[in-house]
Amino acid sequence: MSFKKTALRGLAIAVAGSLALTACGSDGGSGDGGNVTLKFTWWGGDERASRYEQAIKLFEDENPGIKVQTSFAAFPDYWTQRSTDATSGELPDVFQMDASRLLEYAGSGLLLGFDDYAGNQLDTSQIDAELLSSGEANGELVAIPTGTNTLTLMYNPDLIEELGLEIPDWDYTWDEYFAFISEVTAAGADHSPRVYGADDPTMVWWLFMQHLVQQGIEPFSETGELNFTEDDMREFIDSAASLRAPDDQFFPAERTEQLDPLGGFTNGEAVMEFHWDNFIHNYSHDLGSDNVQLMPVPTGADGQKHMFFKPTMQLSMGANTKHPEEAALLVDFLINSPEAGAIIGTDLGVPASAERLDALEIEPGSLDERVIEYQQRARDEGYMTATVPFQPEGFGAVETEYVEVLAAEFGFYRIDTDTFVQRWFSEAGNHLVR
Amino acid sequence: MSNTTPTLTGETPPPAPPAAEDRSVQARAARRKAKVRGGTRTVLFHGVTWALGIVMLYPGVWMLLSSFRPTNQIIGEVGLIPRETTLDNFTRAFEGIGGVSFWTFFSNSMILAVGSVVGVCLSCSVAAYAFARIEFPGRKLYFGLMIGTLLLPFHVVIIPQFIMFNELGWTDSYIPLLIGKFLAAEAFFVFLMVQFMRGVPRELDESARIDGAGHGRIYWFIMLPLMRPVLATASIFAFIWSWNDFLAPLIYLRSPDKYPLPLMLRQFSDQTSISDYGAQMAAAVLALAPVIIFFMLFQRYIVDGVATSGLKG
Repeated sequence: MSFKKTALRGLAIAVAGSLALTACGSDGGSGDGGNVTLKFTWWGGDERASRYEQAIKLFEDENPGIKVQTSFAAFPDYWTQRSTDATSGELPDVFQMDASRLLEYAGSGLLLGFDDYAGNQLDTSQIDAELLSSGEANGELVAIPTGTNTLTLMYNPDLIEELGLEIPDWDYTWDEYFAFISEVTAAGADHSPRVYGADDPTMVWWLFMQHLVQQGIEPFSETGELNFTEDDMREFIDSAASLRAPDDQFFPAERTEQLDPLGGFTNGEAVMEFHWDNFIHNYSHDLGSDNVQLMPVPTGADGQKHMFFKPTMQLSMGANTKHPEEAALLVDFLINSPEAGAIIGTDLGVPASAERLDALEIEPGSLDERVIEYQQRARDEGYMTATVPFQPEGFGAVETEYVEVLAAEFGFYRIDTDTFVQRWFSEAGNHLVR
Repeated sequence: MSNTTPTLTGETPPPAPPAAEDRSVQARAARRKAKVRGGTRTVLFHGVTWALGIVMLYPGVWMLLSSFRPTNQIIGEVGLIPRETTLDNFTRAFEGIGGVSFWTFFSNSMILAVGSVVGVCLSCSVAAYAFARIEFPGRKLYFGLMIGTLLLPFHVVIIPQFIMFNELGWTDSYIPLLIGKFLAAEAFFVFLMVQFMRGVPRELDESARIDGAGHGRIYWFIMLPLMRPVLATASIFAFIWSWNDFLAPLIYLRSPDKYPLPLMLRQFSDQTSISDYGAQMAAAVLALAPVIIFFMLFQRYIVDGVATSGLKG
């Protein structure tokens, strides 16, 4: 009797459990009764999620037959999810793409080309042709840039003023930049906390790219060959040698390690740092001050800056999408629609679409305004004369080798310039697909 | 059930022979010396234990106290005592991410953890019963194969498993995360329970059989009640592993409102957009609380269960 009762109870629990399980899994299907469900995925935090969700709501209102299922994850996790998606042919209909991964995905045929949809569902006429071409792979358009960013020197005017110094003018040279670092580090010695000029700029991969472009070298060929030599890299790294010895005047590597994930600049212990201009949002947030200003990179040997715009992020379509037309429509909305632009702001970079940029209402004095003005002035001054270096397959890996592996060892004086260069070139041989 | 060893009653242990006077004095001196030596050893032991304990606990305490600091005073701060305290971090942590509240993530984690515990306790104990008590052809082989699955790292099976569950249309649901638990695919727990059952005297189920019980009854009425310690151990492990699992939910789940807590925690700090370290610390504290409470309530059973199942280490 009691056994039966207990057994029944057990059965009931098991049934309830399996019902709950099926209930969890029942809403996976897409498209019923003429309706289309699109999957759209991005990386990023809370702020981006709420902006995208708002914009998607607007898209669904404008296109009653389409529902969008959104998903997001942090940047490294995002790529774990995408690679599992890719193995099973289940990439989202629309997803955020990064230029350094583009060829990896496009090369394996995982992305759907936009060529059939450009001009129909998707308007690409508002995007600068050169910028648009950065989304091409093997002659086919597979990624649409959401916005642009460019290299900048971010600086902390309040801290510089506190030290009684003055930031150089926009037409400064590399030598003037190094001299200013020494000045700040000397003046900041008695400050509490101790203040330094900046990190070693030669350990920034993209500055090396910028330096090569200033020398008239296109770093990588379309087939992934290196167009620069060991000497080019050695010369770049040694250009800052006078600041490393006899006294190290850069921000100390030990302190960088302690502050991770913040940096010297964001902790108020260094007055400047090179980065992409759209990072002003996190930097100003982490520093806890709105007063972060932007200026261009130093001038090259020929008196020109040769700066370039890079697509901040891109949007791609999975090759497995069953609704390419609707997916292209969603991309068009996210890229061009001024209403979506008003919601998204410059979270995805300064809008690539000219129409949207013109329609964008910017709050005076905001960080958005500062980035847009910076890009505008850099354009007006004639700095933006180069195109973004081609990023071959394996670009992301060699960048990581440079900025994370080798730069860290170099910062702790565990390797010298020659070892740095040799090791990078041997790694590049492994990673760059030829 | 009269198979307990009879005890000899009414007998007292023989009295110790009286020691000689001089020998007892010597013994007392030796004992005193030993006590002094033992005393310094105890102090040393406690000192080292405390030192190690502090080193191990420091990060946890740091996290707890950091959750009360303003966001910009967390990173780069190695001290423990906050200069300013605030509860804002907790407010923001409760708000969650991208419109999904903290409690959604929390209950998702709870569903997965409780589901795992129920699944493991039900299915693994049945499987273990079969391995420990039923003679069937190929038992040794199957047992060997099951132990073999312990040697397979999760990362080896991850892609084939994903493809399989995806073909079944089960991705973005909790089924892939729980089905293995309900089908006794957790070899570690089966093994743990088999080891435990081997220690249970066979006479118990034999006498039940004589009374007319089949395997079902023996399992339910004899084995299961006796297995309480090992079930508690398995529950604790299953709960904590599921609660802390990151990779499997990351791979199988796509909708943020189905994410468990570990996926949410990652979202607070992102290199490519604004990071909120304060909320991350607060959310980490909130996420850890149930595990710590669960552990403190049941820690006695962990030791019991592991010790009685003959698992050393």
